[in-house]
Amino acid sequence: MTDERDPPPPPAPPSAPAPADAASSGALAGDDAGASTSMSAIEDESLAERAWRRAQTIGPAMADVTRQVAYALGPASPYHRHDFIVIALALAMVAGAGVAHRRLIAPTVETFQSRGLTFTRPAIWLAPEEVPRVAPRLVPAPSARPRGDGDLPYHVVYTSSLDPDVRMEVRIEAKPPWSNVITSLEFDRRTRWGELYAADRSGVRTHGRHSWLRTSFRYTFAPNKGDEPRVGHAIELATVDSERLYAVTLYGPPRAIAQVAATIEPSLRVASLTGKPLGAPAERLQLPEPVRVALTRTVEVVVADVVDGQLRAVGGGTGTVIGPDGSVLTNHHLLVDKQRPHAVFAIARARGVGQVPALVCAGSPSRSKLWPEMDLALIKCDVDLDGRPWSPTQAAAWPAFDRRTETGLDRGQRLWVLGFPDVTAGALAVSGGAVRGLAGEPGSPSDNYIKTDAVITLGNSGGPVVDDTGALVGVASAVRVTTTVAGTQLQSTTTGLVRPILAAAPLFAIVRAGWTPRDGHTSIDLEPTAIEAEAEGVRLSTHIVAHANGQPIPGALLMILRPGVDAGDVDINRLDDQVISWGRSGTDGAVYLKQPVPAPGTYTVMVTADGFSPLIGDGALTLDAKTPPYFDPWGEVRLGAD
Amino acid sequence: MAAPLPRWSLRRARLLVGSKLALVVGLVLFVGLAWLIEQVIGLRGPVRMSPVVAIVVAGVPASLWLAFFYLQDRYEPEPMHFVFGVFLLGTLVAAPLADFVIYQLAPPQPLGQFGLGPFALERVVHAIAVVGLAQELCKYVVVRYTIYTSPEFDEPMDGVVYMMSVGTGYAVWLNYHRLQGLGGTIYLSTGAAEAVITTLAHASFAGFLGYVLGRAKFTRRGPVSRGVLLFLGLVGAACLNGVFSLVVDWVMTQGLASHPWKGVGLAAALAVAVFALLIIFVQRLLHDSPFRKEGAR
Repeated sequence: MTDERDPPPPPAPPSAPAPADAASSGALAGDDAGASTSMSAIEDESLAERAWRRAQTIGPAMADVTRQVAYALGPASPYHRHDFIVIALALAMVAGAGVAHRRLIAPTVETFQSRGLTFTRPAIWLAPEEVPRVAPRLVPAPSARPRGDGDLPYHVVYTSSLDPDVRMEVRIEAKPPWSNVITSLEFDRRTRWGELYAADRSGVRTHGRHSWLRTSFRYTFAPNKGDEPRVGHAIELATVDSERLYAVTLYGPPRAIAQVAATIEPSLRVASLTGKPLGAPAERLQLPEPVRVALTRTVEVVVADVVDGQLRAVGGGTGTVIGPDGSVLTNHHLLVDKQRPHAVFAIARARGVGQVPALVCAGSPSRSKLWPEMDLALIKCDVDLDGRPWSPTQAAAWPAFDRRTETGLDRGQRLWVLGFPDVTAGALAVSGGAVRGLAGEPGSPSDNYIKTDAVITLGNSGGPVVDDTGALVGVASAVRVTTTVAGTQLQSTTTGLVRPILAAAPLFAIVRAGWTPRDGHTSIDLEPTAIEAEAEGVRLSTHIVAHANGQPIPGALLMILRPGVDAGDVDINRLDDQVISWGRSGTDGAVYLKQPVPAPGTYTVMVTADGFSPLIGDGALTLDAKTPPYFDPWGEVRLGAD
Repeated sequence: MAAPLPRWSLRRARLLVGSKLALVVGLVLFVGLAWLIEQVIGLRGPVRMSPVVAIVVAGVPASLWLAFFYLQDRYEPEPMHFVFGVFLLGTLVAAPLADFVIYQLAPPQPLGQFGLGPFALERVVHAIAVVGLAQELCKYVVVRYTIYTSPEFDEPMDGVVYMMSVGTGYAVWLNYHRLQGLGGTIYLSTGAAEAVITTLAHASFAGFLGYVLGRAKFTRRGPVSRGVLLFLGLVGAACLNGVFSLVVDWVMTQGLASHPWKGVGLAAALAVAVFALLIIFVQRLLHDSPFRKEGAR
């Protein structure tokens, strides 16, 4: 032994104080009778009493733990303080070495500069390759080559030299025509990656005084043909300036792409600073509960065309769900551009105020009911976003607006405009205002509008306008800007124009009758065009009158459906197949069916008229062998007001 | 004039040497058996080990080494359950704790640019100051805050015994994960040999730190000197640990080819060298042991 000595025995740490119920424990040990009493007392105690008894021991136990810790850190403890310092120092060294190591292995950076886009990126990329074009799923693939606007579009992919799973796509192309860039990009991603695409997080950040949309998403892909599909992760950084769209998308393992994004993001710059933000958060309003309910009946409508061989969102607005079968009322001008219908529309359902809606299905304007005179249209999805047949009733229920029955609107009455204006980052927004009167000439229904000071802007078109009770008043359709001269100043006043919902009666009638989208059937007329008539049968006639006052209803349509076609089967786009005979009433309400109806037989009858509720009666007409050749089965048909 | 050695002491010494020799032979046989199985079955590629088999392959050499180290403390053997308990702490506490510390303080970088040289600065920093230091620190902490405060830790030699136990336990965790890594496929013979060598290496690094720990506990010097001594011991053990990893990696993969047996051979040489150095220290501690009887060798 040299300088060593035997260690002093460590002092015993302070013992824990006896728990609060120690006294009863002592009684248990010393007295059997007392023990049985206490045991039964414990068994009889309720859960709350037991919890309270145990809770009382927490305080002393915590005090004992505190004393133990104080002792361990004190001068008499075997856990010497300088040993803690040694451990802390070693941990600091490990952490410091970790930081140093991270810096040592961090890839060098280089500057990417092309076509107005500049950013710093890790120098870990192989030579760029052109991104193969993906054929649009929703429309037939056009073979046209990209139009090419000078050096655009530029769409290349870089693969990392350190990890082949890490890729960086750079896409620069002409600015999309639709100012709602956020939904436009969401549409691009969804239609490119298919049904297994899922957006994780999306938000707008500012880099270099320019707002950039950062979206994390997942998608599914097979690395090689025949491989098991894998889930991929990606981060997209995108913005627009006055002329172009810039998007940098990173694909790969989440940690790797987050590391690359951390290098790229702060250095992102574009050539021209427009200063226009991508989107502002929607204003939070105190909404009456019925209006809040009405939000669930509001959808976003996105229209898209094939641009440079790719399906691109070119515009959008809002839709009003008016049928539980997924029928959506919107503006005609959304679906048609210079008298040419857009290639497809997609419907996104709202998730709440301030939230970007979720794209759910698609259809075609050329399979919709178009009413250009009133700037109204009725649309319904018939394919999913991958182009496969799809029925809206497959999805979750479509809460729908009922048609407003009363017509009175008072000047100053409060209105709410619901929709997806382009300025709110693609999110559902509500603006409030008041009725400011009616616009238009009497007798010219197409010019008939409700004027309001509620804000209606790009993207609101086709959206519902409701009153405080949540009743559908009209459809936001247009704005009128009035410029006046006040001294040396020009003043502009914007008035929102709302198409009254009564104007959409024929479209409501179509929804009530039932319809399935069909190519070329864009007319809102319910009349059959070319039905296959029977050669022999009974010639039918009757009178159609209003239920309220017995007045004849001119222009009413009466149709006899083929045997086997019931009320639920009616499809106004297939009337030529479903109707066996029909006729329209004259000014006196008399209607003479054009085609004979075979006897014997039982038929479903459908009667419609503007301003009146359609009437569909299963088996309402029965003919037998004794029925005379000219016959009025009902005397008169009474229709109730709509 | 020195007193003649008692007969019992000689017998015990011979028994000890015989036991140690038997344990070393057992370790060699373990590797030989794995090689033989490979030859007999005609294995040309790696095997996929079930978790149970991997635990056995990692645990057998650790058990033999643990017994070997236990016999080093010939004057006042420690309670076996304490030694085994510390061994388990090495496997179940120190190793997971070290992995946690390394992951938290120096998380893996998915896109790291490493130099091609085997001793590039970033590799050295990572092997010594990150992995080596964190591993040795966790082994140290486990012993320092458990058995160190016990009355059984009553001589400097105990530091070596307990630290080697925790190092052996730590190696079980490492070996298990190596055997289960790469999709659970590994060459049987080199895997078994690596398990033997890694156990010896980690036990030796920890033993070196245990030597310092034992010295520090019983020194008469002040707290600052104790702290400096402990810290230098930690850094020394971390350096041994890191250099061992670097050299083995370098030899195992030279150029684009893999040379597993070269790596195993060099690792064995390094581990034995460190262990031999430790034995010299141990002899000194045993010579100064308060429990050594006068005249005993």
